[in-house]
Amino acid sequence: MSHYSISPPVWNWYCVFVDTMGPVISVALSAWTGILTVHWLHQLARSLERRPVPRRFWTAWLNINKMAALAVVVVMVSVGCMFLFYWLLHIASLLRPSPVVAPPDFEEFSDFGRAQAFIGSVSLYTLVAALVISVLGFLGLLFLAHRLPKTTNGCTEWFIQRYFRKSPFVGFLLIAIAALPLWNFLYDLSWLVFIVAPATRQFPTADLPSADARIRVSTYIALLLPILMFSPLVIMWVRTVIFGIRYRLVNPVMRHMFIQSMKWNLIGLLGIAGFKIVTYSADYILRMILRLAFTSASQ
Amino acid sequence: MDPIIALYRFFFYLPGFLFLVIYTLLLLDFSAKHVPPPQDVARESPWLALWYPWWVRSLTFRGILTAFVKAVFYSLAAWLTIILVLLAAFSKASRP
Repeated sequence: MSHYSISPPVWNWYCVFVDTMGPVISVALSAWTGILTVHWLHQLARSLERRPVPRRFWTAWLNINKMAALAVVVVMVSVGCMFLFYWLLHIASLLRPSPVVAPPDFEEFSDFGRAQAFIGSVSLYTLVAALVISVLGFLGLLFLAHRLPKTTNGCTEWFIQRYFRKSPFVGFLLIAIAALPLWNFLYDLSWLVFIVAPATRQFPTADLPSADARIRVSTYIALLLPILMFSPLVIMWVRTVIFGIRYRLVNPVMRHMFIQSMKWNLIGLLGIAGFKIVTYSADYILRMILRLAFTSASQ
Repeated sequence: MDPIIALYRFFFYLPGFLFLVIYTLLLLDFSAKHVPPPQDVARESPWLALWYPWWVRSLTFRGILTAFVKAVFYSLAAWLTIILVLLAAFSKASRP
């Protein structure tokens, strides 16, 4: 019996609600990080306008500011468009009556396995391209950040002396926090390598429905989303760590803002991390409970 | 969408949403003292009051970390309670 025969409007809108919550939260988080980045850049620019700075430094800073703002805008627009497209496709497919589908085997999750296999097979090139782009972007930002302070008495050198030679622990802690988005990406990569790749071998792609555009679209979103979502965070953290620490010592207003901004960043990062930790831990626990329940029921 | 998959996905995201709610409530900390912004900051940029409200100023880094740890444990405990109650109810109902 199809679930459309139970109570079509209620059930369909329930599905719409469930499937919309995740994207909405992701878009909200992306927008939040983007707004925070733009805000931080704007405040930094305002404080720099009041300081006599060398012309070369100002020009270089303006360039990196433009680049970061452009990256944020591009990321926000692309994420928004992709989610809009995905959401429209999904709503269209939900509201269209579908043939009767047998419920999947709850123990085996065969449909999930097949979908994941399909995802793993079509997205290898996307994954490699995304990895190259993100690494190049990260290196480029670091390169620019390294070049920039040379005109202002070596901010990078000062940073290393202050936070590595004096206290290596604090230095590594700051770098580790700045690298959190990269860890997130590596986590997703490991998920693909260790979960999806074996599933690909188990379920050959020839058996899978090739015309399922929804899976294809959601594949690209699933792969690009972490990178797109965390790009503003990468920019924000690199800028905060490398530039912010310098100015917080000079200007009391900037010092106050830097500390408050760090609080916002910490709240946001822990929110994202906690959402993932709790979700995946709970999933693991649920699978364990279900396995135990099924085992005891079958005995 | 299949009902079982929809149900599974709802329960998949439920602990995460529980975490976000509990984490937010812990961060809001309704018993916290109102901390005014520094005079020079308020003079320099009145918008700061909007971006960094008093409850953010009253938070400490340690407080944020504590809220995070508490929220992880509370949300997992709440979710586990819901699951166990549901399992118990279904197993009771399925008995002849």
